[in-house]
Amino acid sequence: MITPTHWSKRRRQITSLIAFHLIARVHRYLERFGARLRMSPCKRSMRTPLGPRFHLSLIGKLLDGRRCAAEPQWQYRNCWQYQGYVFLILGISYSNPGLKVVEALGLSFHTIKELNEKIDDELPASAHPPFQRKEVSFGGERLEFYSRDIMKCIGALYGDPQFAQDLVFAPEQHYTSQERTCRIYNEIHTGDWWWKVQVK
Amino acid sequence: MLLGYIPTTKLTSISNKAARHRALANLFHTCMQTTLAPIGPYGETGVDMMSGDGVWRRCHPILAIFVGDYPEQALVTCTYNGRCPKCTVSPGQLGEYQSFPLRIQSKVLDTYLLSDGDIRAFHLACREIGMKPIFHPFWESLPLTDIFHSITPDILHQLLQGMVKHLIAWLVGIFGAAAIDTRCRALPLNHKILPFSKGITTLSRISGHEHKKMSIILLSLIVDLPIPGGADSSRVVRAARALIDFLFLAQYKSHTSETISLLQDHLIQFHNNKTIFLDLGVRKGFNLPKLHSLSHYPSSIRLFGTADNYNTEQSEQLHIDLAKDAYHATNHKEELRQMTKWLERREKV
Repeated sequence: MITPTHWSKRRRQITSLIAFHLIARVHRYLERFGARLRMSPCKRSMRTPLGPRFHLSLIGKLLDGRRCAAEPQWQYRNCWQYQGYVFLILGISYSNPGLKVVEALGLSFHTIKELNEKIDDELPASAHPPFQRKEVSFGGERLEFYSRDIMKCIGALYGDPQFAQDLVFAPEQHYTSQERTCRIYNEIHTGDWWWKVQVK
Repeated sequence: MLLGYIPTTKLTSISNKAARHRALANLFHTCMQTTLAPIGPYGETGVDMMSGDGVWRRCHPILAIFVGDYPEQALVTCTYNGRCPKCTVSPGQLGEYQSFPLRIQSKVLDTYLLSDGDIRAFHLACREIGMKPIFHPFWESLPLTDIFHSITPDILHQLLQGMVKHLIAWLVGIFGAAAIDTRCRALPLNHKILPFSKGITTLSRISGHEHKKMSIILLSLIVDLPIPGGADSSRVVRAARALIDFLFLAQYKSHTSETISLLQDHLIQFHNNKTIFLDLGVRKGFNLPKLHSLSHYPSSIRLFGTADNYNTEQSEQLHIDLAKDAYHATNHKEELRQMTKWLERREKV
């Protein structure tokens, strides 16, 4: 066994660092914020939030009433790719009249204009608020800029069921051992800022 | 989520250059104030919101971090170019390793409140504290927000496209492009390193990702390499190693108080050995805001966690998706209206 006196100081430092990180991954001591939080649950709601079925129903409307099964490729994240995929198929069918792919898909629209109208009118409103046009006049010029209502944006992100498991509601202090000599910092809720703001 | 599009006009109708820059800064702050104004009253009192799991909580929206590169940081904090957006370091002392006190927001706000009164007195007061005379910066009404704490380190622009880019240029100036390229070509292939088959000095418009790959092999290119002229290269290697160690430590996904003190040690070692670049003639001074910004890394990591929480790479990628792609989808006439419509449709689906 190699004794520490044979190693240089630098290598000892690095190995102790690696050991700390391994320890940090296995054992971590948490201190939760004890005082009354600024963001604490105040009332319960019986209304269930919008779930994945909401997004599948969008696809159902686009596919002319034909409900597609909950296959992984039709999930919300791939909807946008789906839209691009549709255009690709339309392009292929017009150049090869023999291909009957478009009819096989059973789409309820034939042009991009029809698709856009369907998205605007028939699909239910999304959780994200619409853009509002504002004007600023500066130096004789009238400039337009678009922005969203920030409180509704925060509400939409906060209330998104996909993020519900990942949201953190209280700051924490992580340590490598119970003696609390070595503090760990990784996510924002493990930093000092949130703890200090709660105290204010 | 995209909040809005701010006008990007150049305001060419204003002929005076200084007045035009001032007007553009005022335009930015006005637009930001209009966008962020609703969170002002709720920061202190709170508002009830339902999270995705159906629980109602009182939420206090507070501006925590502003992520951006140096020009954006200077625009937001109303500081002049060539100064630190966070602290009170004077323009000639950016190259020294010395901690200066952060700007105190309450004092700065007292100065900016004078803008409603006598304009001359306002300009004089701003000149005294070394800040630009902007009318009502957008952060003055946001509660519990200290904008000077909220400016965070930016690894992509400050380290990769900043100090590493400078370091490579200095090393090429010391050792010669041919020697470094030869060594680079002689490196054995390895699945962890990007093979720069023509060397690193002939490349142009190098991206941050490429600089990251170069920094992995940089030390191997210069260690034991003789300097033409016969000078001793040990201090050069020490300084380069300290900076590269700082770069890799800063990118850690998880820090402890020990690693943060190591980060500071590496920075001190770089500052102790940097005069070798002056002696060898590749650098005349170290008055670089990006070099000074490295000294704020430890405090920001302690406040907000590791640097990947406030990385500009994500916002750069989003810029491609939400600005460039959106613009390409329009017919370039009244583009903002079309871009917002396009984005709303995509978010619906």
